[in-house]
Amino acid sequence: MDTLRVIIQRIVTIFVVVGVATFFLACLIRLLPGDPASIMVSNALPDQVASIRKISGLDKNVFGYWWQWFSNMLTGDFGYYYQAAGNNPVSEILKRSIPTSILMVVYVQIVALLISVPLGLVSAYKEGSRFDRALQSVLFVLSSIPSFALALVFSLFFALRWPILPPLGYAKPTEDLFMHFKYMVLPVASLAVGIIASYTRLLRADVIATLKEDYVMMAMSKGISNSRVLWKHVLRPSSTTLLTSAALNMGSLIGGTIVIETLFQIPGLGYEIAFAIVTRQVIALQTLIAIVAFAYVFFNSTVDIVANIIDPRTRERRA
Amino acid sequence: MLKRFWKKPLGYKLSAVWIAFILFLAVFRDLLPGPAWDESTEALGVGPFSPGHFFGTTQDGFDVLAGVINGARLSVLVAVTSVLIGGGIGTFIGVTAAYFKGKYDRVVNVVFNMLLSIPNLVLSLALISVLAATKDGVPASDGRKVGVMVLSLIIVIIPILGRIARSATLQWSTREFIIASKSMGTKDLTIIKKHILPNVAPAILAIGFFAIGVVIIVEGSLSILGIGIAGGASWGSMLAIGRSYLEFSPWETYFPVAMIAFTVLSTNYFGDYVRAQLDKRESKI
Repeated sequence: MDTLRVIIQRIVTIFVVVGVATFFLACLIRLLPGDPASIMVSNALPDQVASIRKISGLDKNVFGYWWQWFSNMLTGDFGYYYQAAGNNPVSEILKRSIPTSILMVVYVQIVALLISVPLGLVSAYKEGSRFDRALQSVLFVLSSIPSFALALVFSLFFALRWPILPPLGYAKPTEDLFMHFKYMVLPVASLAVGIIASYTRLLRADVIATLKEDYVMMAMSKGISNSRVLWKHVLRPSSTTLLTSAALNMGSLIGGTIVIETLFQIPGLGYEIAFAIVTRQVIALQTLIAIVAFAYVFFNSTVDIVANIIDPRTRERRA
Repeated sequence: MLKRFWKKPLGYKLSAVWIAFILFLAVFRDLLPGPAWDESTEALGVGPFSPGHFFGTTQDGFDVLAGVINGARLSVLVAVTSVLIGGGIGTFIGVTAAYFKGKYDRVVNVVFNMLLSIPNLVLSLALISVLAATKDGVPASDGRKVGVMVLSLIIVIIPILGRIARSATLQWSTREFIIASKSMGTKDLTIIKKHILPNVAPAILAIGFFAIGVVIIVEGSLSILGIGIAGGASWGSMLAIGRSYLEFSPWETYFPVAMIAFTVLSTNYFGDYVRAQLDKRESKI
């Protein structure tokens, strides 16, 4: 019963936050100097401007405009790219860009977890050793380097100086799986490095705490091998923080990939956001940003609910 | 004071020296010798360590060293002003909301959550694309662009620091000495000034250092996306130009990238250091 209440509460929160955030965006659009309709289509004819204003709801006041846009989105109508030649639905772009971005984010997560879990376990086990201290310093440096800096360095070395990978572009996995992975290596690597650093640091801190528990001492004194104790007895109870932050990262990664997607010309959500800004498609931009915000809030809330179901202790803490 | 400085860890010393160096460049830019940053020379795309151009020149013949020195001013200006003003406003809102509670606090909480639900780069993108827009489609002037960038970064920073200030104040405002002070009839403003602010300051300072790093990275990202400062006047804008020539003159990109990376590293180190000191103090109490 308690869990159900939390879930309902969370779902309501998602809608309130997304509603308020999108309303804020709608206000921003209305604050634009000049008429958004004529900004989107340069040299538009008066009757075209009038039809854009009517379709998009720009002829209503801020509340009416926001409500029309928001309720349309709930029914699957995501608005249009308004161009001189005609209107293109945003949903076409979403169908292509959302899977691309999600694939990339999932690759980043898998790579980051595969590398950071063993690193975190070992460095916690050897806490204070030379290896641990060196690793901590290296990870700190890596976590501070912006991903676009890594992207530029990687593409010079692995695509231009020593051309083993394509410098930019994208192939769908359904078309050419091998090329798909080749295109993904550099962007995923430049995003993953910083995340590996933060995941390793998180896991290390939790594992150090778990290693001090009595049952770990018990397991070790029973003669179970160290690696078995680490992987079977220590990793699981220490992984909550890591998994929570990994899940929280999903939303922010989708937004954070904008620069990387632009640098490597990958047609994902971030690339489309940058494209909408350059081509001044304010209404499409508003929709794209709303989707990123929704993904972000959605993942945050889901994490809360799942943590609540898995680990009953979080319930007591909140009460 | 110097004695205390020498006892600090190596990373602390390096970060302090680097930040002092960047501040020095930002302040004394005009007094330094060397070619002007915005005057093209005849040497096009000369490699680093060549005579007269220690960091080389760009494909358009601009001196990279001069550009990097000049870029320090704008990057520091944008980062420091937006974090100071945004942090100030955020702290004020966060502390008062947590102290007075009630409806005001609930509204503040929803607004903060809403702003934080949009990733910071996306938020500043949206704000800049609206604020920098002009009626007739003419690109905004550079001065206006810097102003708009600082303004939108302030809006990005307010909820980040505001939420930290709010949660820290919530923790402290239930401590006994605050309750005692309240029951003695001390004015709210005095309690906030004398008892709450000094206690929440370290937490805000730590996140403030991280925020400076965030702002410098966002500035670079905006330039890469083509809506930041143009013409090579900041580090971000230098690398936005240089990345097209990555194959031919990589130094054009590397020096500004290195400046960004070292500066972010230093401010992050300070943030981490302050937070570690804070944890130590908390565990003693």
